[in-house]
Amino acid sequence: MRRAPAAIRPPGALSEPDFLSVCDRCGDCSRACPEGIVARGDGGFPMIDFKAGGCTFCGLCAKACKPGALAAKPSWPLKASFGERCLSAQGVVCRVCGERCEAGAIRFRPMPGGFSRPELTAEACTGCGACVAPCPVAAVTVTPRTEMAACA
Amino acid sequence: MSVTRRDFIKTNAIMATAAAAGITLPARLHEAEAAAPAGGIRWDKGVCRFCGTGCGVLVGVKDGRVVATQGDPDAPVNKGLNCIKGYFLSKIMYGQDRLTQPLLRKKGGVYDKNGDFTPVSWDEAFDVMATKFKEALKKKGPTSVGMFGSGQWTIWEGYAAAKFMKAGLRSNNLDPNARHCMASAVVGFMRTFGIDEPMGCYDDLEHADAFVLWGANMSEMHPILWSRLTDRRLTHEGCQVAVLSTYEHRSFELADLPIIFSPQSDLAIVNFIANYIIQNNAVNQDFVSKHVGFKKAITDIGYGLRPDHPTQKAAKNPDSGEFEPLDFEGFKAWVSEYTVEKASQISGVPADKLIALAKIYADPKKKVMSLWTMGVNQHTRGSWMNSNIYNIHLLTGKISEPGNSPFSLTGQPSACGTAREVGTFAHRLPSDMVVTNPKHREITEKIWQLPEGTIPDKPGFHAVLQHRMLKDGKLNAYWVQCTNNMQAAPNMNEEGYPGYRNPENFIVVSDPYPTITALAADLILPTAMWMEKEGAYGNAERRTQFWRQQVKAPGEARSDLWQVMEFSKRFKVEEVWPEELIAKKPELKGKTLFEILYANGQVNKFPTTETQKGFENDESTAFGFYVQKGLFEEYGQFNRGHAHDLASFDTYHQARGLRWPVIDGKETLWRFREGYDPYVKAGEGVKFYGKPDGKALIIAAPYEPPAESPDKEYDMWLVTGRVLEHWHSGSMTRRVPELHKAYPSAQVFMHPEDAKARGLRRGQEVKLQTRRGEVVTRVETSGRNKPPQGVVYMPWFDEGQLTNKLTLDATCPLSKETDFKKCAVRVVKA
Repeated sequence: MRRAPAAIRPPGALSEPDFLSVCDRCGDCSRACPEGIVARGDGGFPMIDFKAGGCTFCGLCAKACKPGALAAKPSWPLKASFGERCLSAQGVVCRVCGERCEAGAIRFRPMPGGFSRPELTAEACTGCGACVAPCPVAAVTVTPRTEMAACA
Repeated sequence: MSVTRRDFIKTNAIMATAAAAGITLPARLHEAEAAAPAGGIRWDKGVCRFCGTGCGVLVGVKDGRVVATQGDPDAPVNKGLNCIKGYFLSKIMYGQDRLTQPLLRKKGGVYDKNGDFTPVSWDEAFDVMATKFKEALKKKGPTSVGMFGSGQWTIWEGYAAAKFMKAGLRSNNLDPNARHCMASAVVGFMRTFGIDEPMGCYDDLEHADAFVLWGANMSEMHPILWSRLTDRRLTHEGCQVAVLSTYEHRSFELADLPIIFSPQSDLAIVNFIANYIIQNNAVNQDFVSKHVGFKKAITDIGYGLRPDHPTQKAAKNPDSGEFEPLDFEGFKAWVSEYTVEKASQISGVPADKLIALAKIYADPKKKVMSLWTMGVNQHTRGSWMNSNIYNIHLLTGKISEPGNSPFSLTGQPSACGTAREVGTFAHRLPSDMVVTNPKHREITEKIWQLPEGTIPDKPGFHAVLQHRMLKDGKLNAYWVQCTNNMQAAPNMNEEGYPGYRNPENFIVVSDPYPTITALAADLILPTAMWMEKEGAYGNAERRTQFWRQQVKAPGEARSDLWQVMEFSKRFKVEEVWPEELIAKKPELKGKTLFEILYANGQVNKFPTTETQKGFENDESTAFGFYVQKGLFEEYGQFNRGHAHDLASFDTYHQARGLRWPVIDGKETLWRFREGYDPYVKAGEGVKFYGKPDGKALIIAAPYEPPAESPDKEYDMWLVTGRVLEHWHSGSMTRRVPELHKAYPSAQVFMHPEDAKARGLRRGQEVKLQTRRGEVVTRVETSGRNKPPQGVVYMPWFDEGQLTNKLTLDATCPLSKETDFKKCAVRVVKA
């Protein structure tokens, strides 16, 4: 059986074991998030829910965190990937994810055959997750880069 | 059991739909299950509900509900592809606020213009409506009643409505929303060729060496045709794409020659190209001498504004479509003033780019396809501009053969099939005929079996004029079907809304949903839509396509066709026709309009037993005959033998559409050329048979300035338009949750420097203000559209941000089509 993917913590989270021991589950980070994407996850620990929107890296969650569970140097080792459901793979002209990518990491290059699939420039992807929610068939996921590598 | 390709694709469609819905199906769903209606999904061919491309879709029905659609792999137009709107077609009929019963404004149990919408029976709805129409007819005559229809009507809906209005109520005040969309294209065709609609077809996309987009963002608005064009560009060596627009959009991604020109200056650019072709000896002399005539357009023709508008008053020859004589030498001299310097100065396009563009047309070895839509049509000189594009194709002889194709794209699924071919315009009759021509009226009255003089000889009120006449109290009983014109028409604040709410008027709106237009009405009629009725559309390449009724409409919703025919039963001929007209055909005495127009021995000729077994046909059940077949076959008498030949009704239920003229079962891909078009006889080579002398016209028409330009007070250009994810006013697509999520609300696209100069940040709320109104929206400085400085772009699909409060009701004076692409606006912090 495959293990459920680890929850994505807000930016600046300590390493997972440290985070779990320092975070007191007060919910301040969730309340501070202007995008409303910090949800209550398993055990009451905060997790990012990209279905609600993308992260703007404003840092308000870390600022609100009194115990210091989000005190690490902000790093966000995530990137987007496109699943089999992606409409572009089925001959449907849809470019919703690319439109939402402010970093310009998702491109739709014109291709022979006439329709194109999303291509990710991994270095440019900030992992913000803004491409997740608007996908009409929920085909975009944002996952830790390491996990991606392990799966590949 | 063998598996056909189609079975396989159907199975895939089910899997894909299930996946989209988050349902897991057994991996090996048996193909037999996919095909079998019992317990599974029944698949049948259909046509997309949205744009004028006319993509074929397979429609999957289960338990009386459309549960899935899939691009039809056997459809020649789209070969299995879809755009994101087409992919979600199955959901357009199932918005939560579908209207299921008539709603009448009432106070104290009776109709009141200021009452609240109250559910009523169809009987009560039609009673009140008939009273209001009869009152208006009695008081002011046929010019006080009117109807506004649609390029989204099915062919028979348009045909039935045309009969009802033009013959039944004897009013030419019938116009379609295609007036906002295609009217300039029609006038261009009629002036240049004397016959409507493109000579070429979509096959040109696979034959051209170069493509020039003249004001069309095909990437978003015609994505499936764009995918065909993209494929050609990437697989055909040396293929070039030139994209012209007043702002940068997605189609620029493929452009070898990207050109941003200042609004209205396309007129100067196209005339420069004509001049370049002549100056560089690139004229196809043989073609021009045999097949082309020359004329000069009368100029200074105004802007289609109200006669008392100062800009309109300043025009020397308002609304004139007259010509002065001209020949090749005259044209050469006339156009010589359009030097590259002049064109560059007017358009702001560097000279080298203009020359590169001209060379595409001038190179005799290059097959060129020009494509355009609203940038050219929605233009105060749109009719001129359409003809000007034909000028450069005619000078070079690059026309009517594979790959050489000036191609006017269409915005609506049946702007061609219904609005244009059936003739639901205020001046038109079927098959390109017009109400002002006594011969045309005679032909029509004969086919319709009506006394001579039934059809009035004056054009009725066109779309923009209808709103003005409603406001002025001259049009008093008004029926809108299949369109959201309060949101779509220009200058809503000053014309549309005051017109609908004028206490003198009674407004009826038929729609599946409570649109802005419906809510501004006095009576709302719930409409059966798309697959809830048997239908037929005609697309931009002259392809007529049919579908069967797949499901029943909810509640008491009824199709537009049923509504018009049933309503016609409320009128005795004596109530609407003068005695002397009835006296010419006394056998009509005492009859209802239904009996005269539809139970006339032709329309009611085919029994209901001829409808397809296993499919509902609610109109035929209601009236007791095969309504769609009867109407179509009567309509067929207009076009067969007149270069618009349609095949038999039954043929279309088998075929994936056929391009007219269809002669001996064979469609016509390229018109006017021997070998392709059966109307051109052996030895004639090319014949533009729409004109009496067989010659197409090159029409000299100059650059003239726009109706309203930015000034100190309103310092920017406002361009309005669509987005890929939504269709027109969004009344269908905004009710599909996935599409709504993909593009929830309109924004104003703006150059970052323009935003900075106004102290605006991306995402900030702003007010757009024009002389006519104000709309609040948000600033977008990146994304798909990148206007140059001085231009903003705003889509109009969002009913929460009514873009047409801003626009000016200036039209092309010849086509009466509004220029939605140019007015002066200012943007300030909200």
